[in-house]
This record gives sequence, structure tokens and C-alpha cells, in this order.
Amino acid sequence: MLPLAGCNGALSTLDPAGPAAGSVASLWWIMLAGASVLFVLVMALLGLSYWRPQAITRFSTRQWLLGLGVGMPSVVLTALVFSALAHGETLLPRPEGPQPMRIEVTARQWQWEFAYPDIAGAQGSIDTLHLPAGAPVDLVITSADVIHGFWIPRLGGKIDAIPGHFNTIRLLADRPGTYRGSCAEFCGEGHTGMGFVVEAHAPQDLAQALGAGP
Amino acid sequence: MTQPRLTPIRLHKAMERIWGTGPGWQRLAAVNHNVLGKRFIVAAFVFFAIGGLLSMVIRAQLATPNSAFIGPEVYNQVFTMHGTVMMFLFAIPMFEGLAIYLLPKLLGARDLAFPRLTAYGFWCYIFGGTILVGALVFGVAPASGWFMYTPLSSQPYSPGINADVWLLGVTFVEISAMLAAVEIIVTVLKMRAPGMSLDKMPIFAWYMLVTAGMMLIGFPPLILGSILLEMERAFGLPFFDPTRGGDPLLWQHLFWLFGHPEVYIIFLPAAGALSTIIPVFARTPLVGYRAVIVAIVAMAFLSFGLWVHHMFTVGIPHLALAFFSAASALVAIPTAVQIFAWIATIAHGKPRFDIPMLYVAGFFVVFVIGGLTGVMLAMVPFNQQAHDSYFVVAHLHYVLVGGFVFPMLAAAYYWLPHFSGRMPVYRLAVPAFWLILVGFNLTFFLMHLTGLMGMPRRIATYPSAWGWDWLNLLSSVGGFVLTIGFALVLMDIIAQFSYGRRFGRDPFEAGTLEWAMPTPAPSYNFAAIPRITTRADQLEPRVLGPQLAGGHGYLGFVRDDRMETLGVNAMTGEPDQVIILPRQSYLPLFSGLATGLVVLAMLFKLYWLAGLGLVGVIGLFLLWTPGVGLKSDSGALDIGMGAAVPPDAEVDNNLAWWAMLTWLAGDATLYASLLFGALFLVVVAPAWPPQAVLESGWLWTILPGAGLVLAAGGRHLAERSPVGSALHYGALIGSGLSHGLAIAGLVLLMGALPDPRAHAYGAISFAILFYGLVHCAIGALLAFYTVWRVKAGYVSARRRLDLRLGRAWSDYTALAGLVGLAMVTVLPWLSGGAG
Amino acid sequence: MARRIWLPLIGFIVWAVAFIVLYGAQALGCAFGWGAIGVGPIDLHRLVLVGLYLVTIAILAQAALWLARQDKTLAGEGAPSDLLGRAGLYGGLAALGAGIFTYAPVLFVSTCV
Repeated sequence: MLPLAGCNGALSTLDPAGPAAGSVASLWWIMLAGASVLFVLVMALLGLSYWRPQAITRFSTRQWLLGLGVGMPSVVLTALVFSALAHGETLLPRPEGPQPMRIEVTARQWQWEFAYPDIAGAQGSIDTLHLPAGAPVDLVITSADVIHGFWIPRLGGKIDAIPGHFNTIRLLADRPGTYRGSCAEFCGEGHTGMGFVVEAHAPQDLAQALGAGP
Repeated sequence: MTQPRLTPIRLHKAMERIWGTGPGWQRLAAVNHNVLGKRFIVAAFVFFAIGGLLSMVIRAQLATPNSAFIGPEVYNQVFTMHGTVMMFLFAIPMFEGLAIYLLPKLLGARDLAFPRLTAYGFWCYIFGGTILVGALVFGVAPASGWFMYTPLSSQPYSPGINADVWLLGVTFVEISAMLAAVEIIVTVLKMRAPGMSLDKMPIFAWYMLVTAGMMLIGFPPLILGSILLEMERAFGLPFFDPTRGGDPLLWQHLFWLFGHPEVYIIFLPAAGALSTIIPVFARTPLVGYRAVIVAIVAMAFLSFGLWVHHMFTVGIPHLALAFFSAASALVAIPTAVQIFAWIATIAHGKPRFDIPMLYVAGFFVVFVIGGLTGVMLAMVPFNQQAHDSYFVVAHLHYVLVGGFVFPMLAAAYYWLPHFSGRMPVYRLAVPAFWLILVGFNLTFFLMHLTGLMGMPRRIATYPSAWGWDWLNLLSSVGGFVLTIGFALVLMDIIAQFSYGRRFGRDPFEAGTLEWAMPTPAPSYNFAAIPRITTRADQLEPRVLGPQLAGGHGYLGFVRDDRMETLGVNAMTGEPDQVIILPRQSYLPLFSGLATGLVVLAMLFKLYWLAGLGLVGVIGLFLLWTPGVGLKSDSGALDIGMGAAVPPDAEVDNNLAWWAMLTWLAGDATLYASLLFGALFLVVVAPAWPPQAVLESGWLWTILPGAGLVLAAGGRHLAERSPVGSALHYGALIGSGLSHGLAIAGLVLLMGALPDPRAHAYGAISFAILFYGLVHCAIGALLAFYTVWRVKAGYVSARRRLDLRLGRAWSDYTALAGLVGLAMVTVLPWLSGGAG
Repeated sequence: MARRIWLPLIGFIVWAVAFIVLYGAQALGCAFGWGAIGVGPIDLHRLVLVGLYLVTIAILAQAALWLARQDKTLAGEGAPSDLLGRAGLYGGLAALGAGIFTYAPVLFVSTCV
């Protein structure tokens, strides 16, 4: 469904590699289509107001303002907000049900530290995140100093790393491979270089990658 | 005693002698809104150029990958200052200047409500702006982003004075904005031409009234946040430090509680300009005057329910996000009502082409795109991808440039003839417009894609690996095209002032009052004030102008060398008082300098000097008051047209009274933000409950509580007892002393608190009590000052302003103080229960 | 008489108060663990939020009705009272719609995740 191959890139939200990013990308294309229609509509009406004003003046002020100003947006916005909220519900890291593997993330100026408490004997890693492909993980994120932003665009939305808080995001990488992440909240002089690598492994290879396997 | 009617020329000279500003150094004493409005606008344009230069540095840096043009330390200052300058030193002062210049004219008044306050606000703006830009020159400009998130902007991570420059400089400038808000509200409600009831007000006045109301409620959270952060940085009070009971999110809530309304505060005056300009070129009245009023009120309220949409990724639960997402989508509706009202106006009229309409068309294209991407960003899942990426940079520039800059350029071309007295030259205007439109879209349209391709905000450079190279290069090229366009506009403006053809009145056949005077405008606007019988955008300035210049109207004369204009009933527009305005004065300048001294002293941590400066500021403000008011009752004054009304000093609901009430609303908002901040920390912040709390708090509250109640009681008694009697003086002095008692009690209570630097509990309790203390100090000052005013003869049974102002202040102080005492008593119990 | 100036603001003042109450109830409920207290098929947190939502709509509707009565009275009084009355009514209706829309998420969105 990718109209523009130029949208591909290791950090592109339009080149999704997981269901969360995929559903947001779909939402984006739908909203883009809708917005384009609305933009053309308003421009057309503006043109009509100059060149075919009778098309507009035939409506009473009340019909015009209530219909276009209130009625039309209400319908569009209700549909949009409702579906966006329903969609958002599916992305939440719910505490009920089977809990995915947990990875602890600590951001600090200017690197990312990952710990894998659910894998016995796993070594922590810095600036490289190891994930199992095809299985969801819960990343529990905090910061040791200032606010940073944890963002793997091809897998899903971002969440902030805030000192004193632990924020959880649930992500899934469809396939094994190498992905990239960025720090998405301005955090000082090293903000520009605070990216990280994401390695998704076939589940059986994960423990070994973390130095805990046989 | 009115003179016989003078000829227009004689009348003009007599008025100008009183209302005009003197030459040479006396220009520093100007309080006239014509002068000050123009100064605000020119200064705003200068800051726009500075902000624009900074943006060129940004685009030069980002044009190519792995750029070594400037390093991150400088880059961080550059983008922080670009945002800070554009938002605080350009956008707000620009429309403030336009409102200052235009509102009295549109309303049929001779000046704003408090001319010296306007001047003081101007100096605060200039001095604050100089501090901010000066810091850039010296390499110590703020570097934590224009919204200064903590802990990055806290002391450990921003150790220099850079962040203090922002906090103190911006607060200095925002004093100016708060005063402007109070003044605009009072002016729009009370200073109109007779007969201009609310339904006959020009729509721009409604927009400014709503905007000023938003400023009044929207700026205090920022001012509070800045004060708290500065207290954290300078004195170690840990409001935002999560290791000591604070929370970085408190800053974000306070900032965005201001920050979101701020962008609507910027948009609404521009929309007001559009609502004024479009009917003129469509040659028909605005369609949906009433609907637009409801829409802007809705927009004003809704805009205060959107702020968390800047925080969708901080980990707030989905239900809370949903409220803000729904409200953010909803705000598109009142916006759409205005857009379609404008389109309908064009359709109902006989539109003609002129340069302002070119920029109106540009507004439609750019702003609608911005609004549509805004609705996209209101959707939480999408926002969580696009937040903090270049998609947001694209969106914000589309709405700000589309929603503010384009309308302001339309307004510039429309009203520039009024400022200059000349018509535009038009050679450069059309190519300039196209360069701006094309350049803007080239720069920013691609950024939507750049952001979706993963480019985060505020990075100093990027590698070639992500596919952003060509996007950034084209954006930078676009930036240069845009700059050339603005440069042409500047040249066009200069050309108009230099070579433009002089014209008579009303070149655009508009229906509003500002065209019913010679241009450039005389200092006093109207030689006589008209009676309004139709909506004040359907008048005939060409007929009205000469009539008024001939003195046919209200107050068409000079009396006792005073600057007089009319005050009216807020609803009906019937005259109810003669407003006597102060003449030019150097005091606003000196007060501004003294305030600047306090700011600089705090910046360089010379607190003893700041204290002295504060004493100086208070002393100077007290010097403003001798001469305000009358020393004897005078009864109704003749205002012409067979009518007579009392002077403002003898009327209870006069300008100063309305200003006090308005000011207290803003003050209460700041206080409410503080109290909510305390509750926020208790519920949300980590590291609660604190180790040590206040013991037996209620005992400590007896003394200050009693002082507060007695002080208020004293002012009530003073208002009711015979002026000048022993009881009267006793009540006033008693009130002052009771405030002193309250202060003593508050200090003792502060001493009983655990160390405010150890935990945010102590810090916030201290802050609540300190708020009360400041208000008691002002209350005491007012009480003793009123004693002097009574002795000097300014107060009588009919001239009761001093008594009422002080009573309102002490009532508010008592209420706020008692609430604060209750809060401090209850906080230890609350913090044991939650968190 | 001057009180009439407030008419266009009344609907949205109620909306704003409701916003503070509902956002506050959401935050307090999570802080105090009301979601863990079951009440029939739902939990205490959801019950409180939905209850507040219904109360909000009721108050907004009541306000709109009152504003409609004001509009009827003031329509006969000429300018500017008729403008303020009408603006009050439209403002009240807009606030009612805004309240129904803004707070509807309490019906189905997760409260504390």
C-alpha cells in the first residue's frame, strides 16, 4: 500500500515494520485523503464566492454557517475522534492478560541503557536494543537526568523518558532485522547524536545475543 | 466653562497642544497611543527581522548533512531564540501595537484607558527584549528550547545565566502583556462613542475583548511557572526536581496551560483584522456578526482545554488524553464558522481586487492547511508518531504564518495609508506576495514529509543515511526565497512612506470610525466625539470626518487644558462620565528603568540591589498618583450636545475600578495555578510523602488569619465612615497595621515549615504563604497611602475611588490568604493519603 | 443590567468547570486506586466518571434551557440585550454540544493506562 517508495527509510514512520506503526501509517493515509478533500472543498468555495456567488448566497446565513461551520465538521470529527480513540485503545500496554517480556530502558545524557530482567543471565546493553521478532515487549522507560524521548518510528509511536517516572510502551517488530531509534525530546548538546540501534532477533537467538544463552 | 466653537484649524491646534507629545527628549515622555502603537509595531518588526535572521542561520545549518557550519552549543541558542523572539517579542507585541493604535479610533475615543501604563508596558517590552537579544550577542542566550522543559532548564543541567535570562526576560515582557490585557478590556467596555452599544461595536473590538480576556487568564500560569523555576534555580526550591518531591511535568502543565491559549491569542486579533478587512473589499457588511461573536467566545474557552495535546507522549493515561484530543478536534468548529462567514461575506458582496485581498487569499490557503494538520495531530496515535518531529514544525508554521503573518500583511497594506497618510506604490507588492507564498510553501510543506520520515526537532545536523537530504536542502532554498519576499515588502513599505500619493479621507470606502479623521492621525483622534446610531462598521467616514473636525459632536472643545474623553455604560453606550487622562510624563520611562534594574540585579544574583530597585519601583509608582483625581467635588460637566455627566473621579464604576477587578481576575488565576500545582505535586509527583511536615498548622494560622480579617474589616469601615473623621483615619491606619500583623504571622508560620529546599512540600507551602505576604504588604501600603490621599483632599463622599480600590484589594487578600492558610494546614494530611 | 454581559459566557463556564472536575476525577481515581474497587459489572472509577458525565450533561442542558428563557425575555428589549440573549443561547447550546463530545470518552476509554 506504499504509494511513494521515497517514503522508505530506516527512521520513516511510513515504512512500518510492526503493527503499531502500520496502523498509524494507515490512519495517516486516510487522514491525508480526507484533508485533501476538505482543502479542495474550501478552495472551491472560495473560488465560487468570487465567480459564482449565487451558489453560496442561495443559502440563508443560518443554513450556511450551521451546515458548513458546525454540521459538516461535527460529522467528520466525531467519526475521526471515535476511531482514533478506539485505535489508541488497541495500542495500550494493558496490565491485564498475558504480560509480554519486559525490558528496562534508562535514558541519560546522551545514551540509552537497556536491561533485560526477564532473561536470566542477560547482559545489559548500551545504545543497542535487542528485541525478539514477532513477539510484543513492554519497554519500561525512565531517565537518569533530563527528559528524553524514546522513538523507534518503524515500530510505533514515541514515549518520553522522564526522571522520577516510569513510562511503558508496548512494541512489536514483525521480522528479524536492524532498525533505528532516535531521542525525540531535546536534551542538550548531545541530543543530535543520541540515536540507537534496534536488533530484532528470531526468538531462539535472543538469549544468545544478550550473552545469556548456551 | 466651554468656549464658543472654534474653526477646525484652531480647534486642531488647541487639541494638539494638549494631546500632542513634545519634541526632542520629550518624546521619551510620550503616553499617546498613536506614538506608542507605532513604536510597538516598529519594534515588533525589528524583532521579526532578528527572529528571521536566526531562522536563516537554522536553515543554513540544516541545508546539508553533517554540517559543520555551527556547533550544537550555538545552534541550541539559535533555535531557542528564534522561537522565543518570534513568540514573545514579535507576535504578541505586533498585535498589541495594532490594538493600541486602532482601538480608540474604532471605538470613538481619544486614547486608551491608562496612557502611562501603555508607555510603561512599552518600556518593559523594549528593555526585556533587549536583555534577551543582548544575551544572544554575548553568547549567553537561553538554550533549552523556547518552552524550556525542566530538568534541562534547571540549575544542574543549565548552569549558566542563559535560562535565567529567559525566565526573567520573558516575565519582564509579559508584565507588559498583562497590563495591555487589563487596559484593552477596560477600554473596550467603557470608552466608546455615545450610542455605541455592545451590538454596534466593530467586530475587531469584540475580538480584542475576547483576546484580552484570554491573555488575562492565559499568561499568569506562565508567569507563575517562571517565578517557580527561577526560585528553584536561584534558591534551590525543588518544584520541578523529582528527587525532592517536585515533578518536571508541573512545568509542562503550567507552560502549556499558557502556551496553547497563547497561539489563539496570536490568531484572534489577526482574525479580527480579517473580519474587518474582508467586508471592506467585498463592499458588504460582515455576514454572521453574531455567529462570529459566539464562535470566538467558544474558541477562547475551548483553547484552555487543549494544552495536554502538547504532552501526548509523557505517559498520561488514555482517558485524560481523550478529553484533550476531543476538545482539540472540537476547536475546528468555531474556526470553521469564521472561515465560512468570510467566504459568505465575499459571496454576498461585490468583491474588488486590492493588495490586502491577495494576502487574505494567501491566508486561506496556508491557514486551512495548518488547521487540517492540526486536526491530524489531535488524534493521539498519530500524534505519538509525529510529536517532536518536523511534522509539528511544519504544522506550527502553517498556522502561525498563515494565521498571523498573512493577515498582518493584509492589515499592514490596509492600514499603512492611515499611519502614513499616503497610498501604497504597489510596484513591489505583487511579486513580494508571490515570493512569500511560494517561498513559505517550499520551506515548510516538505517538512510534513521530513517529519514523517523520522527527523526529530532541534537536532543540529543529520547524517545522509535517512533520506532527509533533499528535503532539507529544498526547505533551505525556500527559506531564502521567503526572505527575499519579506525584504521586498519592507522596501515597499519604505517606498510608500517616501513616495506614496497623499490622499483625502477613507481611500477604501470603509465604514469604520478610524477613517473619519485626517491621516496621519492627530494625537487626539477626534476633535469631537460622534453619536453612533448604526453598527460602527456601516458609518460614512467621508461625511463624519469633516463634521467632527469642525467640533460638531461631544466634547468638541478644550476645557481647563485637560485631556478629556468620554466614558460610557458598558452595555448601552450611553455616556456616564468624563474621563480625564494624564498628560505626558517621564515616570513610565523611569519606572521601566527601575524595573529593568530589578530584573538585571536578579539576573546577576545581586539580590541586595534588586531589593533597592524594588523600593525604587514602588516609590516611583507612588509618584504617578499625585494629580490623579480631583481635590474637590465638581458635579456634572457639560459634554456638548446638551448633555452633562460627572467626571470619572466622582463615579463609582470608573476605569480604575474596572481595572482593579480585571487585575484581580488575573491575580486569582495565578493563585489558582499555584494551588492546583500543589495538589498536582501531592497526587502525581514521585518522592511523596515528605519526611517532615508542618506540625499543628492550625495554631500558626490564628495570627495571620486574624490580621487578614481585621485588615479587610478596617477597609470596609473606612469606606462607610465619614471621610476625614477620626474613625475614618483610625480604620485606615488600623487596616494597615492589621496587614502588618498578618505579615508577622505569616513569617512565623513560614519559620515553622520544614526547610523549603529539602522537599517540594516545604517549597510549595512557602510559595503559598509568600503570595499572601506580598499581597498583605501591598495592602498595608495602600492603607497608609490612602491616609495621605484623604489628607491631601482627593477623597470625599462622592470621590470614593481610593477607598473602594483598597477595600477590593484587602477583600481579595483576605480571601486568598485564608484559602492559603487552609491549604497549608491541610497539605500535610493530604500528602499522607495519596501518591 | 451589566450582568447580562456574562450571558454569552455562561454555557462555557459550566463546560470549563466540568472539565476541571472530570480531569480531576480521572487523576484522583488513578491515584487512589478506584479502578480496583468493583461495582457490579464495572468499577468505582468508571462509575464515578460516568456519573459525573451525566450530571454535567444535565447541568449544561439546564443552563441551555435557562439561557433560552433569557433569550425569549431579552428579545423584546432591543439592542444590546437581544444580542446578548441570543449569543447566550447559542453559547449555551454550543457548550452543551461541546460537553457531550468532549467528555464522551468516559464511556469507553481506559482510565489509568
